[in-house]
Amino acid sequence: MSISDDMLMAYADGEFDKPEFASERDEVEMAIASDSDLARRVERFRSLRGDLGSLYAEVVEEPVPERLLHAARVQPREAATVTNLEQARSTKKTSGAATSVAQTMAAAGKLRPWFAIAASLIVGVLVGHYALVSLGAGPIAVNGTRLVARFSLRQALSDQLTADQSHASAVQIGLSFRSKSGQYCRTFTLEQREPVSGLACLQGADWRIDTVALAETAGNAGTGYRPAGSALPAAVRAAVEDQMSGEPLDAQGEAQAKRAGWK
Amino acid sequence: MSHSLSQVQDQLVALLPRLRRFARSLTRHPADADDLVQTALERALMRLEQWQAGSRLDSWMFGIIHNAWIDEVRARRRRDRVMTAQEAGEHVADAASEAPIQRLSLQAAFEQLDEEQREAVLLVLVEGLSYKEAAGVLKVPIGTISSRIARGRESLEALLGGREGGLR
Repeated sequence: MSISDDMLMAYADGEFDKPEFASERDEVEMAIASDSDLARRVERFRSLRGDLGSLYAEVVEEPVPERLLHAARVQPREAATVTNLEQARSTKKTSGAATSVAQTMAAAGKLRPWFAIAASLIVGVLVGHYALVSLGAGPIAVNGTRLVARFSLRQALSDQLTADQSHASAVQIGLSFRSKSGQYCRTFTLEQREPVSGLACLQGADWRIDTVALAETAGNAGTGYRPAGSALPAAVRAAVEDQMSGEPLDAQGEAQAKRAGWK
Repeated sequence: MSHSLSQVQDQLVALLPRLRRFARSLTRHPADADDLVQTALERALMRLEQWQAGSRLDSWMFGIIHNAWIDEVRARRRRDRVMTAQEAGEHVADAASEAPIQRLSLQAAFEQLDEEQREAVLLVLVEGLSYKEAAGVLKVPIGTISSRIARGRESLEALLGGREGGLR
């Protein structure tokens, strides 16, 4: 009786090492003892497995980035507040009133007012426009009580200069400036079916989302494309005015700030 | 929970190199991989009570990374609906640009596999999980794992065709 490749492969992968698979193991071992072709196939499976051990060796060996070490050490106090946010979301889903979220969250007493405001904006966005921002995934993620930029958004905030950004980029950066507390902040627009604009400021290793709102699309409805420089939503404009110290960076200032890691 | 929070966090820190490798195998992009690990760490710490002390922390984390990646891919698909064809083209070029045309390194060959095969191959052949453990992480039947590994191996051997080391 011939032995299937699946059997040989499972044997090579150690699947038959446990006592309950003794009969399968015996079957394969008897077969390969009398058939050098089968033995070579097993050898081939094992050799590929051995080679794969070195896959991404450089990733395993290089130092782990600080932000990940930090993320692994976050205290659960912050995690506990998120439960409130999730409760708020489910309340929201059933009640259908945007203000209730801010109220629920303010009632929880653990969130700073600006966050309650930002979150009510976000949840409003979430509920009114199902595909915009999914909490905990996508470009805007929840970290403890804060919203942070991830993936394409984090990368654009860190790397993209307005001087050379493509109109086709999924993230468009607008203004960059120093805040009154000395951090760099940048406005952004996520180009998607229903665009979202916001203000993010670098705190430690994370771009924290200060404010986010539906982008104003008046005047180009149906084109699915917002011309660069179109107005920021009022909530984002207000946050910029509130936070900005001095003037926005020009192209040169932006490039310098990027080189310095926005520090 | 029989483990203190700081003990679990020590274990998480110790797992980071392997979590980063798994995330890299999924995203094929260094910065995306670390974002994925960060998202997974945050989710894990939020619902630490769901981890059964005594069960494998690594498998639990692999599962969270897997789910976070599914969410991210879905979110990207939604965003991509409005992206121009030009932008979509840039993304494709990104993924393929690392692949040499003639003779592929093992890593480049691996990155040509489809996502399901990469996950199964990484968990079983690189991380050393059993088929059953990998099935638990990915929430699929064991037979699905063994067929993904079989197809993954076949593709790798085909891509590495000219390589020395007893491949036919």
